[in-house]
Amino acid sequence: MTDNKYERYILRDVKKPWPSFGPMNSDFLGGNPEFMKGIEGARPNFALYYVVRSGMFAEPPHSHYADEYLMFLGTDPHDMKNLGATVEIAFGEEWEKAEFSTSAMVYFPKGLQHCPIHVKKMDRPFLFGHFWPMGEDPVLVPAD
Amino acid sequence: MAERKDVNQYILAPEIKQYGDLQVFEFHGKDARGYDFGVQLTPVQALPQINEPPKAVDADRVNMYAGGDHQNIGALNAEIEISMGEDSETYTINSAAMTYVPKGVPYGHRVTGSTDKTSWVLTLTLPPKYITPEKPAN
Repeated sequence: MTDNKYERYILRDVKKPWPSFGPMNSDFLGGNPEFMKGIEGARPNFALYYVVRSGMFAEPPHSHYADEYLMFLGTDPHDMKNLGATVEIAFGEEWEKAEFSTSAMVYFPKGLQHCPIHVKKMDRPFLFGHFWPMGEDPVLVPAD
Repeated sequence: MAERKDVNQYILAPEIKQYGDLQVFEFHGKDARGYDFGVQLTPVQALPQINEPPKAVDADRVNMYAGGDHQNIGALNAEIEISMGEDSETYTINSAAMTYVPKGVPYGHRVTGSTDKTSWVLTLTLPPKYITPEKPAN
């Protein structure tokens, strides 16, 4: 007889309608608070969804008290390096810009102002999400 | 005058692994304490070619199984059998789902149905839990 002792580690209801960021994004996938609370050894803080068209992300320039990574993941399984889009991100108070069109992890060290994020060109939707390796609460510190 | 850093250093390239004509995205990093973490995005169609038996690792992991259609990210278009634990308990998922794999618990996944449409599994290998320090008393 199977006792299903690991069923509690499987969350089958992960799709959430994206609440307010408008038509650039698909529904997103994420854990619910009860499931995440049951994770004992680590503290995953992440989400996953598609960016489906070009335009500006809604987040204004800001920084955080902890390191953050953004995941830009191409969706051609035969050419994962190719993001299928061109993205420009502004860093720092002077909005110094970096542009890329490859799959990438974008690193924001704690305290470094970032945004706006501009999807300048879209050939096909890509998967996107944030990831906080240490799981801190993502306190958003607005830019001056 | 403060040294000006090239912001392109913050755009970090993954390692791309090849399995037949399919590819896997992998990234390995360290958190601010020096602990390793990892991000891997695998097309579900590649699982038969990767053909990895269940294994335990010395870190907590989460897996997010996602649909390949941006208009319906919840539709997995595949049936995946998950194996967890020393006794290889099996579970089946056929829509978007998340799994948590505690450190040291053997875990594997394999496709049991059709894989003709793209879907994904995002695997995060996590550093140990960080406890936010309490604010010092005044």
